[in-house]
Amino acid sequence: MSAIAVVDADNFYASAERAFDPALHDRPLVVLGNNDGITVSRSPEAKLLGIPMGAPIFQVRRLLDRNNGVALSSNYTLYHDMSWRFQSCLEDFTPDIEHYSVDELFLKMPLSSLRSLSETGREMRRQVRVLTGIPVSVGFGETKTLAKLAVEIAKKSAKADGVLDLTGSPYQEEALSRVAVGDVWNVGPNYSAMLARAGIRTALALRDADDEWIRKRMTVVGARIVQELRGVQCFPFIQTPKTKQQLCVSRSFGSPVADLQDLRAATAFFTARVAEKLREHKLLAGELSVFVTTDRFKDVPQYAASRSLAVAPKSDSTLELLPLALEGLNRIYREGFQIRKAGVILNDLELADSAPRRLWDVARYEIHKRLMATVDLLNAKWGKDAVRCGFFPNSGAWRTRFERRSSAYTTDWRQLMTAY
Amino acid sequence: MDRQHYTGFPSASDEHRRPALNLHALLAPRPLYTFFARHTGDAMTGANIFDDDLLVIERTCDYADGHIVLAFVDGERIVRRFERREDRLFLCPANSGYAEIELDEEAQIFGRVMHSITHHLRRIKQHLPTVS
Repeated sequence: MSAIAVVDADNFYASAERAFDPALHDRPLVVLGNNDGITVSRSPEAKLLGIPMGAPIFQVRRLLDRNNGVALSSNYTLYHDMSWRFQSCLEDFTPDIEHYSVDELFLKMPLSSLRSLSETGREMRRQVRVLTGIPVSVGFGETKTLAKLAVEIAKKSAKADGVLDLTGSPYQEEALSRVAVGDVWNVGPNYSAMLARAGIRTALALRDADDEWIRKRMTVVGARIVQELRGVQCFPFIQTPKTKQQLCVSRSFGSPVADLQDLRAATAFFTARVAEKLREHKLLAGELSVFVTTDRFKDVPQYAASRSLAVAPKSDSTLELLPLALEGLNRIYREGFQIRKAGVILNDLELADSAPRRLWDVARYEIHKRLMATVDLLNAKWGKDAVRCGFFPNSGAWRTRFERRSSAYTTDWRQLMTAY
Repeated sequence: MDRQHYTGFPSASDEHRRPALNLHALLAPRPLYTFFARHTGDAMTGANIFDDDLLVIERTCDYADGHIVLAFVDGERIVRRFERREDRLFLCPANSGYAEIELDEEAQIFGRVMHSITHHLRRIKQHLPTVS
């Protein structure tokens, strides 16, 4: 017998910042995303002030200032490194780990007669806190859905102190009755509204709903959610990540871009980034898509388009992908539209080692492989974009804004924290 | 990177080949819990930690008397010697020009300093009289 644990970092971005900078302790802290536009992570003090998630910064700036608060740009390099550190800490507890997202993971926990799950959870929390400085909450359940429910309650309840075990708990029904149906894992806002209209407002009511009715209204996904709430595992535990299905690099622009030359520069930048990722994962791509969209929340002429092109033979070379990306962009570009977001997506991915290669491709492949390996090495050593393909300006309105970003404390010798 | 392969006779030394020494593996054997910092100032010169030294810091929950630690005190990062006297905890400088700091509940210890690395050429440069 085993149980599922979910370990979820508390306010991950804000906590990662605090792990290195004591000047950010005990005061409202928000981390901004989307070109420093909206709040994406909030310290407990910021939550207490009533600053919501996803709030535009101009709406909360004064409130922050009056309360000695701080707003930082997101520092994804730091968060990525800290995510690796805190998730790896938990390997001591079980080998069965599913890395679910940057701040969250599932663990399959063997049941031990020596130690209760709650004790194990408290030990996990303590260990991650001490070794990485990141506070986490832990929830246990018979299924992923129940574990997620447990961790949400653990975060909110002062009594739980960050750890809640719902397995075989007499408290389970009461817990389910306290969780709104919309907060159940995988129940989206649409289903949540539909369920509320049918009088199903809590997780408990959803668990006890009629199977036939659920299957009709919510398809097989709904039926699985209900089964999971009853303690039957339906969402599989994915231990080793599958080969990536898709890679995407896209950005919302700091200010909208209408000019073709600017869009070409941005597209070249996206292509270089996504090709880098492709090589990092040792994959080849068989299809490349480019897309552009205007700001759908803004009262401007609307336009959205994308174009996919075949990459044949499959490639991981920026030099081969870039002409395709620019061709795709040329085909979808229309004058006069304020483009807010654009990106490059790679599909039809295959491991480079297992891809079949025709005899006459081998020489070409080897040349690109060595060239790109050299480019990646130079960029790793001298900074991103030290060597670029094509002739494009490396600045412009399309560059993402990170005006108040903290240091890359763990990945750049020039940006270490200082100590007196 | 691979060392060279001989194209002629195989060398008897081949089977004795080992990977080259890796300083990182020696100084930071637990990369998961290891962090780096730059030391500023002269509060720890008596412990041979100098201005601009590179500090190798390991996070742990295990602090003993005499460990040199990086601590968060009043919003600042401070490197001092950790001392326990009866039930009280202190951060002690290694320079008589600085005062001891008593640790309260609020203070947090980040980790303990495992190594400090001094760049000696740079230190010499700093102390050379400037030629005008």
